[in-house]
Amino acid sequence: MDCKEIQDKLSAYIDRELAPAEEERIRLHLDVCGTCTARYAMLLQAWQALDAWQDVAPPDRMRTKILASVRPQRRETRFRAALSVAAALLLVFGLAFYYFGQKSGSMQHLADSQTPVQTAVGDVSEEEIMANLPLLQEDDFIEALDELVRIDDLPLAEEPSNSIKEPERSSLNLVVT
Amino acid sequence: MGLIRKGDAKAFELLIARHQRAVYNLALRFLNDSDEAEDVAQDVFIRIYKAAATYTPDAKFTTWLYTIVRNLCFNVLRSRRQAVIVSVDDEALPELPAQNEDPVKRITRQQLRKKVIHAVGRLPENMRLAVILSKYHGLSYDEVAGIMGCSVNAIKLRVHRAKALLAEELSEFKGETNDY
Repeated sequence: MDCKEIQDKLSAYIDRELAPAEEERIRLHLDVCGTCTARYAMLLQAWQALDAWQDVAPPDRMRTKILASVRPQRRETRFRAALSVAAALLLVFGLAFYYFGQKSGSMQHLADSQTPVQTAVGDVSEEEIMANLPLLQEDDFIEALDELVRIDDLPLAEEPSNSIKEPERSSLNLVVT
Repeated sequence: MGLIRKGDAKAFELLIARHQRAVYNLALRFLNDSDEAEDVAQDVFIRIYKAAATYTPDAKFTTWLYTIVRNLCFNVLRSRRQAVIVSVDDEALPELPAQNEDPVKRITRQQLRKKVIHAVGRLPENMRLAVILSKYHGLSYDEVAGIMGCSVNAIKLRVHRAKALLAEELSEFKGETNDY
């Protein structure tokens, strides 16, 4: 190793960062080379001078401030956990309400769909309405309608009798609507 | 960290007690401002507390700790640059004189200390951090490289150049540095 190589490694030599064999080679070189020894002494002194900047104790308030800062965090964590549980419960109840609501709704729908009135109304075509228009305009028909409205139980669940004429059946359906 | 993750307050307090001095002094030497160093140190521990749940011991704890300090210190430097604030030498650092110390020696020591603070402060940021971690925290080049995210050779070179620069800056104190 020449002086240039030695001097490039002096810093690592001071910091004991070299392999033992390399360290030994530098030590041997320093024993015989005044230039490298002077350079080594200069670097070493500068490095040792840094010891004059000693550690200082951190302010006492620092620890207190850190602990105070994380305390709300702890509370927040607990609050968030409670919030999660509440949200989960809300979801369960919500789903339960939705499920049972749907179920009763569909049962109601089923019951409604079994009412022949709606089925009958749904079956009334536009042509039938137009054909019955003159009938709707007659006073007798209006009176009959009033009578029908006052009757609580209409026997509508029964199949329309064959004896009833077609226009009459249609008009009956219209009345219920 | 495992205990902190489980919410053990005592473990966190113990961690602060064990590392606050090193964290504070690293930030103080790097930033040369006691208020900023205190803020950084506080932030470091708060971040550790928050990160406890996700912490995985991939590296040595102190390597992770000093990496956080480094990142936060560089954030402060960035803010300083944005605010165009020039770093002010923190001369108000408390230092108690050694008992029965020769007054002449004490003055020299205080002057040397000032000169060292000034010389270290003049080093480029990456060089300064490498010097502080290596010199004051006793870390190996390998550990410093891990913290600074660069190669060992880069650290070797930075510390080497820093020593040369410091030698020039502190040449007037030649012969007086062995007392420390």
